[in-house]
Amino acid sequence: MTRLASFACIGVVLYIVAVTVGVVFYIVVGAVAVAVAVAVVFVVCFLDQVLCSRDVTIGVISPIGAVLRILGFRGFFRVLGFLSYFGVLNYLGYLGVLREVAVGVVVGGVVVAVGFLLFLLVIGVVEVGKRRAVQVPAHLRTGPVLAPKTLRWVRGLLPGDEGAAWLAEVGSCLAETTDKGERRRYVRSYRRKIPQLIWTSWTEHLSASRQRELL
Amino acid sequence: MTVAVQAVLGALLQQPDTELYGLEIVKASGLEPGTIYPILQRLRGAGWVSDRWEDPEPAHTEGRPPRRYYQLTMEGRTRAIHTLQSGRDRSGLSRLLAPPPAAPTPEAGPA
Repeated sequence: MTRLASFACIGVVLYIVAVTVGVVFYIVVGAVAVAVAVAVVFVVCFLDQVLCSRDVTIGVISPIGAVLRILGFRGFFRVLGFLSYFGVLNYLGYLGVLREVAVGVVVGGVVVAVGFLLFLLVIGVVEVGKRRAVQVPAHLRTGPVLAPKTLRWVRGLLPGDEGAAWLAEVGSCLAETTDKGERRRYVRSYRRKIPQLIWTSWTEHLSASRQRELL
Repeated sequence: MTVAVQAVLGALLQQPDTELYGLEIVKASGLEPGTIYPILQRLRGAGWVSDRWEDPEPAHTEGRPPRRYYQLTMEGRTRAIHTLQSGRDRSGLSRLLAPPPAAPTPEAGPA
């Protein structure tokens, strides 16, 4: 009985060690992958903002912005197709690397995202509880939200008072649109542009924070 | 500069001394409202456009929420005109800025 218990304990310990090693492996691989991705996105965003914020000629001055705009998401899939053409993806799939990386990216992504946010807090780019660049009247922050419920969740994803300002503007626009069909079309338009809105809000916010620091 | 940004600038340049609110810009530019907000954000961040919220009192009197008005700054106006008229603009600035075509005048003389 004692020997059996010892084997059981060893088994449990080995199992825990194996799971821990696996999780750490996923986190490390994923964290590196996502960190590189975040760094690239951040550098591109920063260069894009720095090079283009003066005269809003994205795609003309910034070669990176131009390439991103020309390629877009279709370019990403073209690259995937290019790799697939040479059997690279099949090779990776055979090794099961894609599955490992996918799991690692999900697990590591959370870690990196939290770490990245903490980093931004530490260096002062993101300031909790401080008034942001957008000045919004008090009645818009405290007043009733007129935007439809399907759009209200966006408020929490935008920096500072930008969410309140956006919702107030959406509510104002929809309140003055009497035609129901047009109203539905406008709501769909707002919903469709949410990713672009979030991206623009945060890049403008970070750019403004950086400029305030430099001043 | 994208066609959408040009359209927003064209709408604001049509009445450069007048403040326009979102719905007016939507109708003047022909764009969807979801499209113009991020553009106005970028223009505001670049200093091309200034904005202000309407006082709530007159809006409540009219029974509607306060509007957010936008207007080109002097710098923005100059740079927008310059940029739109420069050689980089190949997508119809003249069409955006041109005055509406005059109505055809009936020809004089016997038919």
